[in-house]
Amino acid sequence: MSSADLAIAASTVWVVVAAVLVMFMQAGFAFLEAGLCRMKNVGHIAAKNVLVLAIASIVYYLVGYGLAFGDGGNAFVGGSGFAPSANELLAIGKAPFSWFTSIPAGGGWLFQVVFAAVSLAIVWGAMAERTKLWVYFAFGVVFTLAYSVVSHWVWHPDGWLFARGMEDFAGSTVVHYQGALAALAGALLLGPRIGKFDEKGRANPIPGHNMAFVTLGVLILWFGWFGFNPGSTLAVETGNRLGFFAYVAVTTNVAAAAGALGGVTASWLLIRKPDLSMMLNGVVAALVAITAACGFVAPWAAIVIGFVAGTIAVGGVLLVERVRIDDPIGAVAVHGMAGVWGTLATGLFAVPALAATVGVGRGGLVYTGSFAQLGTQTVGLLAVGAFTFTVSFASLWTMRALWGIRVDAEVETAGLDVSEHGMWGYPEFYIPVPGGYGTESHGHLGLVHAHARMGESGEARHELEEAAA
Amino acid sequence: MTKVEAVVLRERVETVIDAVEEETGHVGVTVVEAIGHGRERGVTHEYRGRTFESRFLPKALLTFVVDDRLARAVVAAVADAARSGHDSGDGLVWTTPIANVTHHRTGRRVEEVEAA
Repeated sequence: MSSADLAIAASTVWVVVAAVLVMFMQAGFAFLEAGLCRMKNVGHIAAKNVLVLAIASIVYYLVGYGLAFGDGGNAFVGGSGFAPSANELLAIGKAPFSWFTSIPAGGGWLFQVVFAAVSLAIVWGAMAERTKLWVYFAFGVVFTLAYSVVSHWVWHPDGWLFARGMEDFAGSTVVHYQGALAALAGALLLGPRIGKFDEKGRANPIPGHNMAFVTLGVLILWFGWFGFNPGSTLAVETGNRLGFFAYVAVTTNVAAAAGALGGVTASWLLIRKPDLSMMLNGVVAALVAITAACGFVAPWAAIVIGFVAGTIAVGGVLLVERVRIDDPIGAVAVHGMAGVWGTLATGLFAVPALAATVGVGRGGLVYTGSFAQLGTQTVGLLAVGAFTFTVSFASLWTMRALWGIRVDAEVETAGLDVSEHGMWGYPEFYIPVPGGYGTESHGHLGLVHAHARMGESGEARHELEEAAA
Repeated sequence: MTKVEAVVLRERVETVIDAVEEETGHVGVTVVEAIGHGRERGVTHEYRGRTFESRFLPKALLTFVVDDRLARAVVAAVADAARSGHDSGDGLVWTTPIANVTHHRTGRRVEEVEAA
């Protein structure tokens, strides 16, 4: 193998590993969202992440990848590579995916499809606990297509925002802001959950059921983000730098750390408690914000971006509730507001030399004194905001008008687990299960009862304990 | 004094308590999560396409301790509020005469406090 072959082999290994890390973020979302919802909806919420990955995978294979990265398109959509063949996926740097020169087109597909699935996963956070299941299928298709179009704008050299030099390393705008825009449209059209706001419009807390789940979910996301950001190098060589992705991992990690501190500090000041869920929101918000900036900024700037994002998460969650939008997971604040912040912060803090290495855009305001990059970032945010919110709102509005997107009050009260799926996330909490908790044959109780029947007979007890062992 | 006890659907618990407060002004209740069954003898559940019988259904047992003169009104309020419109499973309400109801904090009997 030539050294060029070795570089392709190494890049392919790295990108596939990174893609697998990003795929695992679905587990993070599943636990984060399940933990922040009530027990009666846990199975529904968790299973939806599998559905999201399934829908995104098929739609992205058939249409999305071609729309986003296919050759022969224009500034707005890609033009080939729909339902690609084995040979097309095995090719490196050839039509219809000639943009991927350091990895086979199949590696590019795997890495991009898990991004589409992350973006789609974000949408349902704000729509949790009250959306009909079929909406996930229908809107999942629509959103995956919209996502693919915007990723073409920003990440494909034909794309008009790419041509303008918009800096979005791994998708603060493309992935997170877009997901949050659809989430906002959904939350507005659905309305709040029953009991979230009283007659006077005061917000009632609806606590999630398991903070350890939320913590596990956020740590899985943090872990997966080492694929998300560093993997976006799509190669082991970036510009003239070998192993540039390791640097991207550093900025990602310090930002997330600063986000935890920003979140906990802001919650201490604003709600007078170092709230655990707010700290965790702060971590995710920081990861969202550093996603655009991770390849462009210095470590100190990554810390600033992360810390500010952590405070934005706390203020944002409270603000969204104040304007009477019910967003159970905090997707609008954590992915939307922090996504906007991260995208703008890149325009502030991008280091000229790093922008040259990555080969996109230029230095930010702090280094150049020029508003040019910040302006480009703003144009990107406005355009994506208008497009994705409009598409999301219009399609969900149409679905609502034709069929209704919200479950009946009775279904919502009983919980989506049993109503939509005929199953509980925690069956024994809701119904007596044969041999389960609260029944006589439930292991622990059964043993106690048996002891009582045996009285003090040592021999009988000994036999019983042997049987139990 | 009279003890009013009611077995109600768990989702009606707050509705029932609110109705009692509104109708009679009586405040105070104890709620116990309970399971049990009536004439229907439980329910059939489904799991992964198979059915299984469950003898018991989740219910709540509410206990109110009320002045004798309020008992009938409280019972009526409970029955009205606990009615779900379903064919079965709404539960029952009943009363028991009780004596020596005493506040732990003061050690005084409730009748004496209310008479004073």
